[in-house]
Amino acid sequence: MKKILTALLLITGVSACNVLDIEPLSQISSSQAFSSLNSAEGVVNGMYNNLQTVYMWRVQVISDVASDMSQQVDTWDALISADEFNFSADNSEVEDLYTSLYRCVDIANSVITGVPEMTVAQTSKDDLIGQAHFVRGLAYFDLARFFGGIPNVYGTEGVVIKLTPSIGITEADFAPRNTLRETYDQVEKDLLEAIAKLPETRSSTILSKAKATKGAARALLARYYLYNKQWDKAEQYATEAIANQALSTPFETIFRSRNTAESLFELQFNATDGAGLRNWYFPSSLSGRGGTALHDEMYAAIIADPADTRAALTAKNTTANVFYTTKWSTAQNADNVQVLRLAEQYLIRAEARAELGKLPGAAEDLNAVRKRAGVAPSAAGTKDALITAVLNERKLEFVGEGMRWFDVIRRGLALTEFGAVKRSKGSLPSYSIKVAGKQVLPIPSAEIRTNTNVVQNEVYR
Amino acid sequence: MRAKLLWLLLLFCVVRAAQAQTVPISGVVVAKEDNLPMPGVTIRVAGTSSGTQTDVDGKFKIDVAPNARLVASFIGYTTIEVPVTSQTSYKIELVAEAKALQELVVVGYGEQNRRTVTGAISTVSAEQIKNVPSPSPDQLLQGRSPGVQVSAGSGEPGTSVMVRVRGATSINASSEPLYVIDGVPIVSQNLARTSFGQPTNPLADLNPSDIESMEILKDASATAIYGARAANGVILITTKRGKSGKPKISISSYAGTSKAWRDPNELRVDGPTFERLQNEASANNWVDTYGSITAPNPAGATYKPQYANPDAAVNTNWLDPIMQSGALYNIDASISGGNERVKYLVSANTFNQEGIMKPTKFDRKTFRVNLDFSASDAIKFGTSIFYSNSKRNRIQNGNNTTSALANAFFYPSNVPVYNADGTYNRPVWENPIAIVNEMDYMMNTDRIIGNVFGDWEIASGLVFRTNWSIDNNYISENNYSNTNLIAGAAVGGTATNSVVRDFNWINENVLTYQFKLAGDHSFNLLLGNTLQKNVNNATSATGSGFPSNEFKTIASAAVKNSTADQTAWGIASFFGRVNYDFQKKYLFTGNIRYDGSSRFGANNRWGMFPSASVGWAVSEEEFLKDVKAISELKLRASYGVTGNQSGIGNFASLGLWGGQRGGLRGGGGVTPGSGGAAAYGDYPGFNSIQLANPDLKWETTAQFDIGMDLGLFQDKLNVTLDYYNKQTKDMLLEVPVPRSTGYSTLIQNYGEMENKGFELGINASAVQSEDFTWDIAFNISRNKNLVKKLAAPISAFTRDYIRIEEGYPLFSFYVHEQLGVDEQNGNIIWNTGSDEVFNVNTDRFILDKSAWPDFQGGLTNTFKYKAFDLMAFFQYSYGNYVFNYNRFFFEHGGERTTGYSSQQLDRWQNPGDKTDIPRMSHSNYDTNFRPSRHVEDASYLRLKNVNLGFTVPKSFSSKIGISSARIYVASQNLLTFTKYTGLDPEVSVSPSETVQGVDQGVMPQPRVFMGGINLTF
Repeated sequence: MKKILTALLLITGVSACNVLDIEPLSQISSSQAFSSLNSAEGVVNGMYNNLQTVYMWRVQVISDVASDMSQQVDTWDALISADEFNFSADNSEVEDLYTSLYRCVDIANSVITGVPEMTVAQTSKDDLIGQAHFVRGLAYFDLARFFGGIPNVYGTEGVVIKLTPSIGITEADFAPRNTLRETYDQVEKDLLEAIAKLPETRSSTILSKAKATKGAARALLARYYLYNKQWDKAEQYATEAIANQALSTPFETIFRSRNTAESLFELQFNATDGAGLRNWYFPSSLSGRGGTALHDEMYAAIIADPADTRAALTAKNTTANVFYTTKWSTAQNADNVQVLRLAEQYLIRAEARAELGKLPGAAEDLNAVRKRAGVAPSAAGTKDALITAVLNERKLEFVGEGMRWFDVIRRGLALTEFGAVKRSKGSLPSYSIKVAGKQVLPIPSAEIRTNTNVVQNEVYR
Repeated sequence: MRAKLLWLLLLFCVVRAAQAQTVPISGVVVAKEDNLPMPGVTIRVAGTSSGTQTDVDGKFKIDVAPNARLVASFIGYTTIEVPVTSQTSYKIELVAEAKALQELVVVGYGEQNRRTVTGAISTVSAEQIKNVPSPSPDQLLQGRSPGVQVSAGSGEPGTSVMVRVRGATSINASSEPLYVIDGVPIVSQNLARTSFGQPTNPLADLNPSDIESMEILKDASATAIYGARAANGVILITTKRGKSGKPKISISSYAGTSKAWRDPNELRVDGPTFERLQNEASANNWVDTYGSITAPNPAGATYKPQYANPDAAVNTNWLDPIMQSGALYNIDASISGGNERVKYLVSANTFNQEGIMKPTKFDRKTFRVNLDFSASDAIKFGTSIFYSNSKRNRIQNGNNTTSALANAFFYPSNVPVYNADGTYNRPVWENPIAIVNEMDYMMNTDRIIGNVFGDWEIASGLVFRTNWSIDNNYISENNYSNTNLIAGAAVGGTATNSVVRDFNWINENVLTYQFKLAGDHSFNLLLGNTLQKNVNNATSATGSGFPSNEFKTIASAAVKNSTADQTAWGIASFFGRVNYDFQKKYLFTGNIRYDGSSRFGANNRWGMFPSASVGWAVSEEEFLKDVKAISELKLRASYGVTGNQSGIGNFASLGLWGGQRGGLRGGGGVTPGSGGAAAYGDYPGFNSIQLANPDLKWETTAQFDIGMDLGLFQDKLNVTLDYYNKQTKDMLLEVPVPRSTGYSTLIQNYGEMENKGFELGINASAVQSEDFTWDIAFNISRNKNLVKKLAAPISAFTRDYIRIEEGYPLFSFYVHEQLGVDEQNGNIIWNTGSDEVFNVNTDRFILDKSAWPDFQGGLTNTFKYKAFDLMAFFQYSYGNYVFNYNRFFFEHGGERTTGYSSQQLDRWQNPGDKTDIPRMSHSNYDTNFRPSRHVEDASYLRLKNVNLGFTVPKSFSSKIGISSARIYVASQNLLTFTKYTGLDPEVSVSPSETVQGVDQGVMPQPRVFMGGINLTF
């Protein structure tokens, strides 16, 4: 039959193949993705590109607006509901955050599965696979803390763990959620694997910051142990991540320069990528959207100590009469995003040491951070006072960096700290988190609709 | 094949040889009714291929063998046979056929007498659509034909129009019909790269005045010949062609003005009202929180209104400065004529329409040449060449932060347009007045649709036709945001230029053979093949950093970026058809088409699409022949399978990795190109963007149709009635997949959809007298759409407002059902489901209301009294709902700092108030609420067109060399009757296959007043 048809087509002077066999020019098929080292590096870059989607603003703005750090002053409901402790399952920002994290997981899975089959040097393979473990660990960490909770504080359900690349769709893809413990265990496993495989440094300073290294993985693992209250390991990995580096970079320089000594892992953005942090905070008169601002009370805390140089990185949006952070200020939103900073490691170690009763070491680490900011050493002397001081320091140090929501929750303070938050554009006098269940975000309705084995978080049912 | 050709050549020689022994004869053909000579009549010698045509004086000369028979035929006249005698001069009289008998209908790859048609086909003629100020022919179909639903997405000239023939068959593939103009399947989907909320309509490139008729093929019998692309119906557009005779020159023109039919100011609140409403909300919230308005808060402060003195508020009208009354004009000129060898038609058109919002404008110029040559009696050539240039000046509208109309409502009326320093004031997003004043956008389309065809009558009744066509679209878009806009301010102005070339070539080869057996058995056989290929090249460049706002081309930009892309698809097909009738009483049509598409994997590339239909012309039976009242009665039934492959990606079946970041939400799952480059900073990268599905294949629709055509009182009353049942399976569906796979969708053949309905069309000549005639055309149709099978519910619109779910029709609204407002306390009474407590997460339901109308159609009354004529065309839609998304935002009860729309004024204020708009407080206007009160009944009845004309008496016009002259005044959308509270019931923001009936910031339909003149020389 085919032959007759082809013959008929030939008679009309045109080949059917010409019409029917058309290959895409702008894409390649899956089998070609790991054909060469160059190509595999392209995939790894594509993986970081997807991580950019996560960290261009989503993690930071969503969690800060959800906390008492930032407020939403425009008309964007999806973030206003975050600000009002009122997430709904159809919240499109929650959906995008969730999807973009799993995009990273899928590409990391492709690298971890595809690279071992390649015929290239083992060191190159280890490096590529190590980076994939790092990104997958980071993605599952975020999925766990946003959607599952914090171990021994709130939550028992984790997220669906998928460790193989998606090619088509199978029954196995309709899996129920893993437990919170299993999810966190996966993070630990990935990060330990990353530390084993990643290099200490790369060929240039920029590359050492732009792509994961042992240092970056250790820093993230230190954060992991902090969340899991494994204080000794938190101290250990923070110490390894610090690697005797002092906080030598002036605070403002961290954000005004790129890839400073402060950064342990810094996502690289150019004008085409466009990180969105500046866009959310800067007013429309400066070509931002001006949708996000600091809570008035948070701003008051930031400027409370006149000696604090960190307060200089704020400005007033005169149209909306609110204050915003100017940490990210490059035109066309071409700011890098500092995902892991040295100061965080000092404060992780300070908190861990305080918990372990190593009070002088704790104070020393805390004051190292305060000293750089230009403020006097902390007067805190007891374990509890030190822990409180560290939490307060984290608030001032990481303005707009997406730490506050989790810090308050993991310390078990959410119901008090988030009990009466004022919004300058809110219709109610103040807003409250009200119930413990709201310490996690809803699983997006898009996921629940599709995969009926996934159970919604309790308060969103 | 080669042998066959040789055989045919031999046959030709034999015929030539036979012609040697002949005698010359001559004659004249006249019409019996007026005895006037008839040019262009085909004269044929029976049983041979020898023949000629009459000249302009109706005369002919031909060589015939003795005892031959002459056959004279002309469209619309009964064919007559004249025996050749010893006479050498003949006068042949032709008798006009009864109207219905002569009526030819254009069908796929041919024409057919309406009496023998067994499929469901509606015709819209040039007469019905003339002098209507619509840029595109699809819009002209609105209300004209039963079973065809047409809704304009917006009032902006030249934007997309939704056309659905017998409902929608698909969710993710396209449900738009296939458009075929003079045999060329043309591009009808938006090619513009810049999305301004509303897609552009490539059919607006055509000149409606060129159209002779539009045939809408609806059932499987009529459409299956277009097989794989026919599931949504086929619209055949036939353009006017030259006729034998003296040159005929026609000139017609109209000009007018348009405005919004409903004043948008009815929906705004002024500055003082805005401030009072905000104060009311904050006072109510204080009471709700602290018990009473005089109670202090925990810090000891007492309530202070947000605005101390609303009476002194600034009052800015954001609407008037962005609206305008738009001018429009149209000029058509054509010349046509010809003789027995050559016929020609040349036409030119210019159409210019300003939108009712600044600075929108659509400007089109077209040029057409249609030529027909008879090289010999057996061989004919022809060509149709059409060129058009369209320019669109557009403005961003719709659901968007730079939407002019939406922002005119988002901006509260108590803030000034400008800051003290003269810059635009921007409390939120982009200032609407800045958008209309500062944004530059121009789209320019050059389009050539052309074909050449040749007909070779190999033997009597056996015709081979080959047709080669192109549809070439060249689109250039220039978009410039200067430094007075947010987009341009930080970067010193930004400009984008994109160029798209979309090129189609089509080849068709068709062999038809018409013959009779034993006198009573008529056959018409057709066999053909066609190839089509589409190549789309797109290049775009962006630049930023311009020396000043006067420099707008990228050449002057400091920073330049560019991208280019190419994609293509192709389709190869074979088809055949059998038409058979026995004494024109028992009719049968069988179709088959075999299609191959480049879009599907090798496993499932080819699809077979058959159909069959039968008809019984009861009125031809002896027992009805004597019943004078019934001039026609035909019963018909058809069943067939058609396919669909449009609207999906060209490489939808492949697993792909690409250099573009995958998108996150909405159509296309991770759509290539939706999220920018996949580079990491300056490091080039790529990522997985699409899951593979090598089994992807055609979406198929099986359709059953049963119908009746009835003509009464010598066809003074014609009724057409149809019932159909369309079942679509293996839908090309973007099946939502677990997000934990890293993807949101995978395109699969999954799901089933049903469309059932009936159609009734009535045409009546109510009065036919010398001085006065009254014609009525009425149609009504109902389509019931149902999604029968789906893998998982699909969210089709932001905030899950439209949900596609098994057991519900498409375009269903998913909301919190508001049962009313408590008259005592002003709070919303919700449908709380199975328990007593309203849960915002779980008490959400699909309403039994969708954007589909229960009934829709049109009514035309045409009156002629002496030299005057009046045409009034009403179009209606009943039972369709629109989700008024404007109200969701602008009836915010104090929850937002943005403007209010006037519906908020009807809020509950005092016990006993009866309203569905609740008390202004946080508890009633939570931003997570999706209240059903915003889903409104948008049924409407519209006096779509009314036209009053006067024809200058011939006695007068002929003196000045004019053969006919008519002047008229007309209006479009003169009257609208609707309960809908928004700007227009007939709009949809970001219309798509899955989203209809959502209104936000969409330009309403214009009301046009105009006058015109039609002249023929």
